[in-house]
Amino acid sequence: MKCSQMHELIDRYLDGIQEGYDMESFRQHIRQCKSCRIMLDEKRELMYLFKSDAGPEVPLNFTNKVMESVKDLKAPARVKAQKGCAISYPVFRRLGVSMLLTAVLMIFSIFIPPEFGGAINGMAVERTSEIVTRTSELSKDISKINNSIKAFYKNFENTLSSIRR
Amino acid sequence: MTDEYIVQRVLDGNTHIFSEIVDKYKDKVFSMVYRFTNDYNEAQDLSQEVFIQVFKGLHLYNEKAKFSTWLYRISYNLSVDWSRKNKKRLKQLFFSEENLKEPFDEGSDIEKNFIEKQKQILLRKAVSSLKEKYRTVIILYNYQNFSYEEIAEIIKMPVKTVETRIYRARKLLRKSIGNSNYGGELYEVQSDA
Repeated sequence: MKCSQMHELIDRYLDGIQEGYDMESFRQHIRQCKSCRIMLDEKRELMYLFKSDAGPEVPLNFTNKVMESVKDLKAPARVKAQKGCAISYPVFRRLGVSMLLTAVLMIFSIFIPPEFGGAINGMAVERTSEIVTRTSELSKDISKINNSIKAFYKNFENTLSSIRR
Repeated sequence: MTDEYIVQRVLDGNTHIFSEIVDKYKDKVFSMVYRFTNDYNEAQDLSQEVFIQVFKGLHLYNEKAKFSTWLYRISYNLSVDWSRKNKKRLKQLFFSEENLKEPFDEGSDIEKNFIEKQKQILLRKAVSSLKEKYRTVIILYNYQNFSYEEIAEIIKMPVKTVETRIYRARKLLRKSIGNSNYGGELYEVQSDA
């Protein structure tokens, strides 16, 4: 086993990770190599310093202070589904990301150097235009779907009311 | 009571039961925050802020993930944010013996105690001078005793990346402490493996 392999092996040995490593060769090398033996001792010392530094205790009345702070806060409530909009959050997130990308591309197209401006600018403008079109289509689709779902719920409510009568 | 049960109770309006969460995790959170700030008063304020943010964000907690991991991630994020905003201050910190516990029992060799404390101060200085990515893994692994997998979940990095960073960080620490070489006898050569 070479000294260059020992750095990481010593760390693993001190961390108690021995699986998958030839520990017999490791021990043999340590017995025979003074510099690696010194390195092992130095690293062992470092580990000991970490373990022996426990740090300060948590302040007294810590829990009371935290509870004092939270008692004036509005209690968190479970997230409820929004009425009148059955479209899922991820769709709005995609819409937001598309609009953000559009803005970034438009800003980027202003700062690119002239020698690259031609081709990249053209691609950016084309891509921006695609994104804007797609964003607009998505908005229309969302609006249509939302209206359909509202209509469905309305019919459903009417049907329920008539059944109850 | 499990953490998830306590969370449900708080979301149902029983705010007072949140104290169970605070009692359970305050030691570890305070310790983590202290390692990042190296300032007792700052750590006190910041660790309280951790629990306030946890409280405010309870409705966002996804039960598919472990609650403790979610909480420690908030603690880590706030600690790192603080470190980034206070870079200059971290460089000027005076590391004193104030917040170092006695490494040995009473009656032990006073000189040995003193040397151990000085070594710990040197190590803390060396850790605080590491780059953020190395300092983070050293704090979480060597001070907080998280496993590689736990660290990977908290900081959202692959396990292998965590492992590599820990080894590199230790190498840097050895180099840094070796150059400081307090008293010329920082390392005592011991017997074989």
